[in-house]
Amino acid sequence: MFLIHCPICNEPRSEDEFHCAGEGHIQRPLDPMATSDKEWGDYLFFRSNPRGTYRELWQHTIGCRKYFYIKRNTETYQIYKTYKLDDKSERVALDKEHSNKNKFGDLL
Amino acid sequence: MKQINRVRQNRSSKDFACSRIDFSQPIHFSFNGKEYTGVLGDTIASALLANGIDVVGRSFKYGRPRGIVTAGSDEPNAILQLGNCEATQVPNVRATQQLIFEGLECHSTSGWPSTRFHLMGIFGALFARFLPPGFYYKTFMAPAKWWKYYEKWIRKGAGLGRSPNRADEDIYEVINQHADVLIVGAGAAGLSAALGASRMGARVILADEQNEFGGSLLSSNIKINDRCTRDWIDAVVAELINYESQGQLLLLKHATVNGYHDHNFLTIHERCTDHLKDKAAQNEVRQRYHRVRAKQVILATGALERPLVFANNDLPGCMLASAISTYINRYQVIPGNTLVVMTANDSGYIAAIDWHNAGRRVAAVVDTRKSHASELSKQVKALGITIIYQSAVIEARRKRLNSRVCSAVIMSMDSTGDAVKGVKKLFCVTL
Repeated sequence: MFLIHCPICNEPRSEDEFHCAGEGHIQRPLDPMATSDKEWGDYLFFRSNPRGTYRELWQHTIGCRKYFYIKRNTETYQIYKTYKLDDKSERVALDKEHSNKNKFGDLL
Repeated sequence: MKQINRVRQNRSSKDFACSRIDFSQPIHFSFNGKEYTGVLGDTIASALLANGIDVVGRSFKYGRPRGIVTAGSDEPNAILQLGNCEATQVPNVRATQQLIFEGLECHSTSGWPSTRFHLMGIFGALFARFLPPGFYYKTFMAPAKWWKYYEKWIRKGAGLGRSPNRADEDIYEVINQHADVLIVGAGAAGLSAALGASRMGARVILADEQNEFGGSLLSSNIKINDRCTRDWIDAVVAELINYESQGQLLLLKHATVNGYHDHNFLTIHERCTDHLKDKAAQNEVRQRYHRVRAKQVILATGALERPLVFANNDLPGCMLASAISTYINRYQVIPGNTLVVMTANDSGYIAAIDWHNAGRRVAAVVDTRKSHASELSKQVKALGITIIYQSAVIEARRKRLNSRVCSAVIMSMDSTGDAVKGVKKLFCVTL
């Protein structure tokens, strides 16, 4: 069972108190009417499910009830960091990873 | 019944300085409906061995007789049904872990009509050649309309233990704990770690599955700083209890750590009253489940001895060398008359020395190594015990279907250890 540091309460708490809300940093298409069915399907249903580093959205349901992000390793269960929704640094890192992946394909 | 295999010597005697039993307090219990006597500190297994009981169970498939093999939680055979009444029935308790208390009732979980006279044993011996590995007694399910007639007979022959048919009246609780250091196992390493961490001011939990702290030291005759292990354990535990009274340390006996989960989350199953009475008193907790979140975890679990492979090594009387030392040193029980030790390392020599010092005969030590000169082998030779090098026990033999092991067949090995040649036969009661 995870020990999660809630960035809002600023305290490590047991996983019992939290609820996982799935992959983090998923952006809703700005103009839904203009998106193709494939893009809309990707947005709704398809998640990256990687082996390794993963960023997730969690809610401290039996606590402050706020959402926040967790950056963790799906293989080792190590939690690298937890951060608030307005923390932009991980968003930038994620975009960089995506652009690298587009550039080098599956080599990464 | 008399305790024929018990050495009646008090603790002051040199050889039994680390014994953990108390002769002044006899305890009566029953096994398979028959009354036996043990002493305070005995487990069911040590008390049964003291009373000369060989067969404690039956093998699952062929119904072969099975005896006590180990002295700890790794026991595969001595699995018993406990409980004086329907509400307190506990199936499949290891006899090597359960302490006896006054009025304890236990039964073998396998064997029908009885463990001693066993229908399946005869059936298994007669038809063994027709029951290939993987054969399952439910094969009898066809033809389906007959199943209802012979199901109840097959069910009696199969399975281990039975579940109670009345509700459990005891109280069980779950408790959350936090610790700086959780130490799993309270042997020499665990106790030292607990002492070190407590002295530094850490909050410590020390959990051990046995009824007292000390681990393998409890069954050993070695000296620590020229004092016997009991003195060392008592001194360490006294200091730890001092820390416990300050609320800094939690000592858990009868507590098995049964899970190590993510982020140092561990679960401990503590048996609070199981060793004292059949049913806990009112408002008393029988068992407790600890959910521990620890900053550091120290695994001081020790090691288990692996049994050696030879024909009929499941006969009652074949035991692990470490178990023999435990029964002699800790419980003053010698499980047999004559001993043959087969070993591939020096630990077997310790069992031979303990057996010899307890006053019974060691027929031989059979060592698979070519030749070996160590401090222990010199000691064994000095006691006049034969050592047979580069040889192995290839078979254990018995006289009758239900009797225990009576002799061992020994062959010498060639240089690669792949082939055997020459036959030598030795008579023994325990291996």
